[in-house]
Amino acid sequence: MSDARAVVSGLFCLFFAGMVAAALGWSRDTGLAPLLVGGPGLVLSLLQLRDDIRESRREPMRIPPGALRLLGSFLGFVLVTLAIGLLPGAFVCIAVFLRTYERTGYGFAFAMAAVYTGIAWLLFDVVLELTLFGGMLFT
Amino acid sequence: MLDIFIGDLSQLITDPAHLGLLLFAVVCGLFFGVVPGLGGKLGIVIMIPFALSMEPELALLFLVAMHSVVHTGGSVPSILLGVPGTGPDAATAVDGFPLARQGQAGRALGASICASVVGGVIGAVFLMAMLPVLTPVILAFSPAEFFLLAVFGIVLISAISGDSLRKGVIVGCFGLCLSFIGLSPETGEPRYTMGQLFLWDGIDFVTVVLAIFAVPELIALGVSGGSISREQSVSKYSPRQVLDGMVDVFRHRWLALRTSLIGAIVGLIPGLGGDVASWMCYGHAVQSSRDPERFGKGAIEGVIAPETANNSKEGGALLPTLLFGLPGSSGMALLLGAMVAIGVQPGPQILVERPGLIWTLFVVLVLANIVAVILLFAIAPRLARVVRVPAGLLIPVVLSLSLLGSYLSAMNWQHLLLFLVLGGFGYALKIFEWPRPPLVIGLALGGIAEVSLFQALAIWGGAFFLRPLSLVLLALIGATIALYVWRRRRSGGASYE
Amino acid sequence: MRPLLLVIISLLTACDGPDQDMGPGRATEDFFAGRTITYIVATNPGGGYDTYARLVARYMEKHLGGANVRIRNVPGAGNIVGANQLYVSEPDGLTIGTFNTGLIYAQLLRRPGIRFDLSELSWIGKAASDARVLIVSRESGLRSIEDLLDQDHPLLFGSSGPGSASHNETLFLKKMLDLDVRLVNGLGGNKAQMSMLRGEIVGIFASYSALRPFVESGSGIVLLHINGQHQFGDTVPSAESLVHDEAGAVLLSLIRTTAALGRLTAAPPGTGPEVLARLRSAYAAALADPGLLAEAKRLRIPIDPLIGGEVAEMVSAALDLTPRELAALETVSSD
Repeated sequence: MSDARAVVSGLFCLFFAGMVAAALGWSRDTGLAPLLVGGPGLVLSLLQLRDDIRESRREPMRIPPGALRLLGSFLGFVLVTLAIGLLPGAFVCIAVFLRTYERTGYGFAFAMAAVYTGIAWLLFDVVLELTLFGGMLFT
Repeated sequence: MLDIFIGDLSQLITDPAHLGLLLFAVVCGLFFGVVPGLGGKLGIVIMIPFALSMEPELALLFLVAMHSVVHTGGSVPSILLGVPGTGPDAATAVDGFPLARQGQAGRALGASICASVVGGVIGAVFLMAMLPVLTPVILAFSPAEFFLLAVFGIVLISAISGDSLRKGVIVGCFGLCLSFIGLSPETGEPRYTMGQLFLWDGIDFVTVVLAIFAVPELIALGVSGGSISREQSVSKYSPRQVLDGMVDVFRHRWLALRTSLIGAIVGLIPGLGGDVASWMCYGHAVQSSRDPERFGKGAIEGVIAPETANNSKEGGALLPTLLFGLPGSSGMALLLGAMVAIGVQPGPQILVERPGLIWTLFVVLVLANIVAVILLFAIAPRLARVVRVPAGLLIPVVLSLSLLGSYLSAMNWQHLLLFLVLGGFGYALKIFEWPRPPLVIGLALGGIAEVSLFQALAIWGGAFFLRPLSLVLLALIGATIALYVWRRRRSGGASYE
Repeated sequence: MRPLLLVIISLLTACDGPDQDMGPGRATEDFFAGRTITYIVATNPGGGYDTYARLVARYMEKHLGGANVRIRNVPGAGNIVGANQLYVSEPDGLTIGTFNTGLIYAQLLRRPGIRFDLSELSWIGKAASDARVLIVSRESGLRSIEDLLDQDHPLLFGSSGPGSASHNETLFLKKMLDLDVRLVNGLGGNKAQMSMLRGEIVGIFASYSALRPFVESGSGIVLLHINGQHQFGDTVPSAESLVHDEAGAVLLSLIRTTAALGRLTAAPPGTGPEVLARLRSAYAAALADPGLLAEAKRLRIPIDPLIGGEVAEMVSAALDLTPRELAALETVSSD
């Protein structure tokens, strides 16, 4: 994006507006705190939005290239984890990331992934007997 | 009394089995702190079955020893990776991680380790000193004071975060609003849950902290490439640096003393939540500094202050938990449950039934902190090498650990998605120069603020803040704002927002 | 030929088929050997339900011939998430669960998010019972229930929060005795006691086991009890003596049932009768085991078991209200 300085204040405005709108429909006690906080939050966010738009005309801010792509890859990892579980997901993610980002060989990538997954499995599943998320495809 | 103390102490020190148990507890505690997202809470949870098989007193000592050093360990990933090991350790990351990026990881670790033991010992001393006056102190804090304390915490953190008070307050309000998600504590109606059952208990705190601190750092690291430390001149083994850091704590000894006390006092007040202690002390460090602009960029006081508080609050928090069954934080609430499970009934009668217990806990706190420091000091320089690990390996491993931590804390998969969304938002906050700490404080304090407000209104009506202690707190809030304004004027800040 | 036939037959009989087939009753003494039973606890670890579950689990293992009972904490939405999960679990005898008895109220009041029907669960039993007591602080100056009823201004009582059992039951009591009380929320655990010591609230209506130290230290005075004949005898009046109308009687019986059914354990609906019988007998044996009883005494947690069918009856009876009674219940609870 060429200029995105106002993104955050814009998001805040939307957020507080939504909060306040929902709170207005509730009973007095339920909505009191959200209104007390969301109201001023909305006002301040609008002020900030105005200032940010002015500032961005003078001095635009950009999102660093590659950041969005990286965030996208994180999203992919989370989706994979949701599908096949925390430990298998970690294995896949570490291996894939090492291959694509660091461009290591397949062997190294799988080895590292296996080391992490192995230690995590031993520690959390075997020793601590915690139930880790098994993935939506399997439950 | 003293003979009981000597008796317990000698029993503890001379029995190798007890010492071994203490060592094991410390190792566990450090481990739970070091792995992001595990935290002391989960540690207690996991160790409860193990503790049940021990004698009650030993089990209690084990749990307390373990829990008291969690934050000592939690500072490690905060400093080295910018990923908080536990909620309160996020405050350490704000200045600790920049220090690591400047090649001073060893120094930050050293300062953190030393600050932890100083805080831990002072907290233990505080525990003993407050015993006689405990009841009146605890009784003095009513809902009115809780509400005002919560407001004070939010104002303080907003005032010290970055250049813009307005941005700080906005983020603080955002954090507060996030805390309102769930069931209304006053009416039980679902708020902002959009029909999702997993939101009834609100958004998981650990998930939020991990998301807004870890993810932005991971993205930043991924974008810049290389490894965390940009300084290639860091020699591979520098105990010297670690020692330097430890000396730093003595250079700032008055600050360390003050923040230890503040931490212990905050820990003492039941219900405020230990997460707040480190942030408040961080805020105090900023406010009491002559050049506050250094903070956020690698000021060593920004490591010392929260780390003392993290450990001293344990001593303070044990008091209301043991003697009144009033947990000061969620971690303490679990400890309380564990205590009941192992047969130690909290209440004033503990002093009568088990007079030696408090003394023994004092000894355990001190010893555990010292042992933890020794262990960490031995491996700190080696740990500091993590900053040289290439991003391509660090990023997916830390991400996976964070997802693990989030799941173990929240216990549902929906939070993994929430983690990502908040992480992306956290990144936006970072690059567009918005402060993130007020979000954490707002989220941590929102619940108690709202509940206390309703309680205070129910008991005294609108005039609740005219109580003496409340007026003191109101004055504190006013002073914080005034201090902020004065500083901005003095430094010729552009526009006071 | 004969050896081959023998081998084939033994192979066929050794193959039990998928677990689901256990439902219609093929449980044998060996069924549980080497299997893992998941014991869902609908709260966080460390609390009362968790403690009971872990204790019972260990002794059930003993009496189930080699099974492994593994606790799984499924907290959320005031026990509703855990109960939901128990309800939809496979009824193969390998999942059981425990949750707050207050979910009876939640089901009656049709709280959103509930996906279970308690009357359909395969009940294993309950482990304890408790008295409910109305306690006031010493500072309040009140010394008997008559004093309380004589008050001419609203009194502040504590509650952990809307939806909690203490909240609901205090409102029931208010209706039963025509009390003028206002609830102050957020006073769960020992906070209510601190609030009483500070003189902010007058009293609380909650479980006796949690409040016993407070009473024994002299800071609190018991004015009334429900289901507490064992502890109080004649020294404290029971609510029964003060309730004379039909609507009040319904509320009273609800509270009494909930108080009597402490620490419930159940299996998912449709669990096969033979498997269920095995689980019930193991549960009963566990709660009668001298080792468990000794540990319970050390932990100071009461054991008062009731097994299987009786529990099922009590739960069904509690849930069986006429539409008019339900409507009245909703009015009372939404105060």
